Amino acid sequence: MKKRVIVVMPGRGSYGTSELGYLKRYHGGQAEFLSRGALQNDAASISELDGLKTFSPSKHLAGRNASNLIYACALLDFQKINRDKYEIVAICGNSLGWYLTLAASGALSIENGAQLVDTMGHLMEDNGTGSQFLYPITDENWHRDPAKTGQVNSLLQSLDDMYYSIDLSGTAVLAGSETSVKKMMNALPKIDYFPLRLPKHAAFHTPLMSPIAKMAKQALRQELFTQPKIPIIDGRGVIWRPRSTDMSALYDYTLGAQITSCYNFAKSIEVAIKEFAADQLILTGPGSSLGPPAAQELIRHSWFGLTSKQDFKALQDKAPVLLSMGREDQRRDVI
Amino acid sequence: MKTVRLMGHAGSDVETVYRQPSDIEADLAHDPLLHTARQVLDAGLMSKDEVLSLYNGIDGQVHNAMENAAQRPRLKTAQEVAAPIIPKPITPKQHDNISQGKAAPSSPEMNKPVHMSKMISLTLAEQMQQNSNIVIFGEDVGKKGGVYGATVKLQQTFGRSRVFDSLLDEQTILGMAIGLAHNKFLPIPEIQFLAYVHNAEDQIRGEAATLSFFSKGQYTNPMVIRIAGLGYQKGFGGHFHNDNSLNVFRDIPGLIMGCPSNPSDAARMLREAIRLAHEEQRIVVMIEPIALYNVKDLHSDGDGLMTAKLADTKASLSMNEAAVYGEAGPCDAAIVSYGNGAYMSRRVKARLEKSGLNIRVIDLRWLLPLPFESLLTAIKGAKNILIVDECRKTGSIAEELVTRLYEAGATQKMMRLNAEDCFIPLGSAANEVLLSEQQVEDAVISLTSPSQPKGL
Repeated sequence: MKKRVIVVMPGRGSYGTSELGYLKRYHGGQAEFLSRGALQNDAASISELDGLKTFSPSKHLAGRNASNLIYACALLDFQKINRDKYEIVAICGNSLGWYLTLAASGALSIENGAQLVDTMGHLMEDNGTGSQFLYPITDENWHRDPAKTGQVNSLLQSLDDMYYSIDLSGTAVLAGSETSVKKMMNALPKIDYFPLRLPKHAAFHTPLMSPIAKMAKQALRQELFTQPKIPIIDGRGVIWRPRSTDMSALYDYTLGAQITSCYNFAKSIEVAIKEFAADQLILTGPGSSLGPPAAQELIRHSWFGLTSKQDFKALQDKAPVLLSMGREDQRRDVI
Repeated sequence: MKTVRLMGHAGSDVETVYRQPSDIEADLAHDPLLHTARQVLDAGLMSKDEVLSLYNGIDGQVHNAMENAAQRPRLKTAQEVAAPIIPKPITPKQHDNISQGKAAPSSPEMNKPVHMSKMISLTLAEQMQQNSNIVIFGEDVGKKGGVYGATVKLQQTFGRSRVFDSLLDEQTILGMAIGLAHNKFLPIPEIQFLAYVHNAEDQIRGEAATLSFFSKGQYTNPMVIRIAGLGYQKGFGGHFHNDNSLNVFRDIPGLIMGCPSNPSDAARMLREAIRLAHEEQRIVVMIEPIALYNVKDLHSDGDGLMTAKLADTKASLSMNEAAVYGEAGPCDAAIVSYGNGAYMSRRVKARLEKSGLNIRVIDLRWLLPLPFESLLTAIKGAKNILIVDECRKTGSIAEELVTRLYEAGATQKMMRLNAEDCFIPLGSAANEVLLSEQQVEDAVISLTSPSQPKGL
């Protein structure tokens, strides 16, 4: 019998130094289908970027390039999932991963998905203001630490233009104006290398993005969207199902609230596991940085009997419930 | 009457044992799912294969969900099972004072001695001013201000969206309270008479009180249900308007019930009830003795001892605080009571003390759970204990008190007084079955006299 799986699509931070050459390694040359027609003429070639000898933050992390690179890697990974072995029952993702989710589910064609991702990358790069940083809010067992969340919430309340940008389960992704981000990062106690600023990220998923949401609606038409072929779960935990998706609502959410309010990745995982009764979760590449947040959410709901980080590690060694295509060992099981 | 039933009631219900196969098949042909599939095919929305694959997909999902559920860890102790009955407290958002003109209640209102129903309406105004989520509704609570005036002027002050008349239907009232609470409002519904609450018992027992329990604390529906009740009211008569049993609430796990016997307690207990609902997500029932709503004097005409000023009652009364009238230390008898019984007992105490008896009155105030530790402290030094419970005898609070005091090792002589196990009739006949002040007085004398009293 096929395993029922939820596929999780990665976000903006997923193509880093160790992902350089990902397309060449796993998808030799196929990425060019994206650059033909779909991408605007001035976009750098995805294969070229992937093929550079050294990782260059200014090139690889720039909004538009990063988005396009991740789109290509993730969508090609998605196509490689072995459908004889796995039944994909739902798809969700984190932040940029929502656009990837739309494309993977068929709510956007591959070409229209590429256009959306390129347009949003472009708009964010040119007009995005403020910045975003990460701060861990769990203890060593991956349980939420009330003291840390309390501290984060009280700082959020005391600062203007400062928001909870993404609920990444055990990690708070916070965003706001430059001034407030600086203040908040200074006020939070250091934990290893956190608070960690995300280079070239704007204050995504906050009201500061309202002008970009407006521009996005001008640049992209509702006709780009079609019915998803697989259920998808958005950044509020709302499920959009095949044949019954209200296209104008999906368009409005994607280019509206999705851009200007908190992306609740944790909730989307919670809804996915509880509603779709999957056997496993598959994270497409590039990278595998959504592994810990997804696992933390499993632990939070005692899913698969997991109650701590140690439990999770033990189960992963025995019978993995979370397969990352960005990891060589687990990728083999997926394709 | 005709009912189409698809499949047996439960797994253990094997229909073929008692129904003809042809009847079962005929019913199955009416399966709404099959009809829907036919309509979908007729309309060309999906192909046969697509319908089947959707159906099988859902089947797989349900099957997996069942397997997952079966593998969830089992609850192993009674404590674990019962834990979510009481929800976890939350830190509610601070609400801004609602600035609509002048503050409610006004300064003159706060500084005037008032009787209990007026005090309740003033306290509600104060709380509504502080918390914009409070919504009040019930039969005639709006323009009329409640049948006993406990919500007077609230609609005028806070508008029809926050204070409104409901249908004359308790299921509507409590059902609406549940729905509002699900949506983060803080409902304070009024049930006009205790006798009416039985129409909607299950809204509390089966619905509101169980929500936190069966959702493992994920969902709550906090509210404060105000109920005018108990006996001795002059005016509306008969068992439709009078009830003196609280048993419908007393075995509901997690429920809180209070019953004030004077205006000062009424204000402080109502404030605590609202805090318990707002911060601790609890469901609180406040029984307001109708007969005491408009009483101003305690011992003699004009003494004004049954009035209080809102300005003097700023604090709240916690759930473990019984009231003690009388000095600590040795005394001839402690009377344990609540509601009308507490009022009567305080009057009896004053009368008997003139004849040299030293009596302490303990007003329990909170009836569910009982403030038992506070009670144990309060009875210390008392030679005798008299329980004065205005409710019907069977299943009464008096029964619980005697049992628990015995279990706690109380050594005093004990006696209890209850109303008769009878419905409250019309007119003066009501006095025949209700507890009287004279009975209380006689019982204290009997209990404290050297000869053996007729006790339990």
